[in-house]
Amino acid sequence: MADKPITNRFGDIEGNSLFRLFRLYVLFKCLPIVNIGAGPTLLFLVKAMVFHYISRPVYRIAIRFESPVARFFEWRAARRRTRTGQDVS
Amino acid sequence: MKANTFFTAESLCHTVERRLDEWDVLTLDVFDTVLIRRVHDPEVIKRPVAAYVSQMAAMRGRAWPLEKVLEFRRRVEAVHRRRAGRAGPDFEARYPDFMRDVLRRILDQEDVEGELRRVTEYELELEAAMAVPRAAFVRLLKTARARGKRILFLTDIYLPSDYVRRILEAAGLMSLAEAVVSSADHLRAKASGAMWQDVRARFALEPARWCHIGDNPISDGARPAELGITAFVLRDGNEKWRKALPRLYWHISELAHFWKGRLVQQLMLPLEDENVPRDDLYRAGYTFFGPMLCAYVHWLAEQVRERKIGRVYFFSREGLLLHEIWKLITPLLYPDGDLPPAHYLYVSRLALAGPSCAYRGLQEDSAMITFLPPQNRDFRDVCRVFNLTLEPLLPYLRRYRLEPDTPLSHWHHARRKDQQRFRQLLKDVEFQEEVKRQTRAANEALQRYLQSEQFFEQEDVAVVDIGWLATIQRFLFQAVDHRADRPRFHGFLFASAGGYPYPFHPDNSVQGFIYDHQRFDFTGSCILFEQDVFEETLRAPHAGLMAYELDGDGFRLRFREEDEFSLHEKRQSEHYASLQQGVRDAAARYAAAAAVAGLDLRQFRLWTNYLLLSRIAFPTTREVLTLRHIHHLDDFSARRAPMRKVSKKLWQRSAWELRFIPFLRTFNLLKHAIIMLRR
Repeated sequence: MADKPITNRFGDIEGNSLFRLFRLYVLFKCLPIVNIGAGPTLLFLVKAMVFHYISRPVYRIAIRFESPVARFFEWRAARRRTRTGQDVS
Repeated sequence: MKANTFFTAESLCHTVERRLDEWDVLTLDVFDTVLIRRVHDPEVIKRPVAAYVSQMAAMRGRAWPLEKVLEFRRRVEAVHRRRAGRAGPDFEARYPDFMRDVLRRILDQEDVEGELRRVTEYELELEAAMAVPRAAFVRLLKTARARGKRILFLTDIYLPSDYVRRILEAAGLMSLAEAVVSSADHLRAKASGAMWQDVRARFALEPARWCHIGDNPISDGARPAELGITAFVLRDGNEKWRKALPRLYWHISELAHFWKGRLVQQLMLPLEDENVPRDDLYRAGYTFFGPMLCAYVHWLAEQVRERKIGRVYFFSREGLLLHEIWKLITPLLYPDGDLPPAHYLYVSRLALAGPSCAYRGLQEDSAMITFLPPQNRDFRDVCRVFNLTLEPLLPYLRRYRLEPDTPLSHWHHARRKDQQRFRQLLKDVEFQEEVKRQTRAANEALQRYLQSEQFFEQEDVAVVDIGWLATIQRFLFQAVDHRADRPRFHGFLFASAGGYPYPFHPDNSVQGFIYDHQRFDFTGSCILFEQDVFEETLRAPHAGLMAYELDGDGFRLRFREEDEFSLHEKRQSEHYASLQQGVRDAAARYAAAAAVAGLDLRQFRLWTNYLLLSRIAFPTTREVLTLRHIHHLDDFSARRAPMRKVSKKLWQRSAWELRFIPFLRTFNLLKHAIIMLRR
């Protein structure tokens, strides 16, 4: 059997991945006899899976436009502040 | 000159390495360049430090909750930064200066040097535990060093260079560098450009032959480039993504406690060069057994503090690894050091069974334990377990029309009449006197051994074992119960399985962590699917204890001699060595992760329950085949097959059954649920 690192290339735990958690989550929904509190909840589970398995290329591309994007958000925030000020006045 | 921007550490290091001959000196930013942190935000490291300060204040009767300490620290640091900004070019602060002010106010005392030292030590330990050197930079630094380049670390941080040096030393990088310069040393930072002038003068550097690498486009890019230094800026999307993962878990764990455990595991994960390929057993140790056992020892430490117990004894042989975990995790989890000393105690069921009869004789509840394993059958097994010599006991046995080979166990179709005769035998005063006579010497040797371990010097002791029926604790308590100075026993088991009545006593309590049969916990009870794998995981690689013997004025511990079965055991230990290493490595990272995450064990319980279900109740076939022990030696059991059929457990199924029987695991879980409900 081939050796593997603890984390896979998606930053997930090898052998205890979110897919395994998802399978058991579905099973425990059908078989509610186990105690894992409220469980992972579907929304957070999907969110975690998206972050692990899909978002990496997005980060790699987004980093190249970090400065203009940051400037845009700063500009937008400043504009909102100005507008709010105008509304108040 | 313009800074060169790269988007991966590998491409940057490759370019610098290719152009290395152009420079004589290499300066590097420290955090987020050479070192990365396991956490998404360095601010979160301040939380456990604030908790420690809050605890210090509470001990002095001052109410400073964690959030208030954090906020106060932020305010004091900001005041120091503003003050530095008025006097010099940068708004910098020095950790020892502002932390001293923080402690003076919170603790309400002038001299806080001792407290400051302890708090600083703790913060640096956490920083070092969270810092990981980047593999690409380590390789670059080694190449640069080999080619005779001067290497300096420059950082804008509130920690003075001595402190940063310690973090770099822990990461194994200081041997490659000449010096560390921090903005906190003279309150002159890279951001304003003041530090560059200082470094240039102090180390007599020529900008044209100088290369700097960092992650900030201004401090590490524009400022050195203005001086004519070749600057490289790393803007790493992969690293941003990597940090987004703990950030995500941090936020969702606030809303759904189930994720707290995943957050801790995420912070424990190996990064960069730590994350090398490992075998299945190591990975199981790191990702499953490690967190489970660390949580158990963490719980144990909390219980011991709460009950103010004087000493902790880890029972052999499973206790050796637990003791190691204790030593690894408690310093970071409890920086105040308010924990009792912990010892490893050589005990075993076989060695203690005899001494437990020295004063109270062979009681029925103890004798019947012999027949719990299906392999044990008759009075010979009773003699073997309690270390009794058969011949002097034969007349008493025959007095009740019993023979040494008469089956007494229901696993071997014992006759009810014979079982009743055996109970009558146990009430025979002369028989009991003979039992006491035979076991007295072993009891005396045991007491001498316990004295050498300061066992009788405490009012309360914690006794720690993996489980399952607390037989060792039962025998140990019975062996010393006659002494007026015997301590109160607080038993802490990994799992308390029940199934056989325990003689609870105000001075002899037992509690289970992952499962306690005294309270209904179906999920925790899934550990009963496979207990041997936990035993083998924790088993120390030394021979089992067979007896306590007198040796002049002292005592001697007699261990199992080498035979065919001990060789099997040795093979099993070698097989699981990798798994145990995984557990140790996980423990080394658990404490910092749990401290930073502010772990509450009640929340972590949800995660350990999930781990238990996924790995023990719903294991993959490959996991069962890998983890299933090759040999499991149980000295308590005889080596004979029971006459009654023993039902096959999930983990004893063949690969074929595990792979192809549909819904086998679900069916097994439901069957277990029915058994538990019937209890």
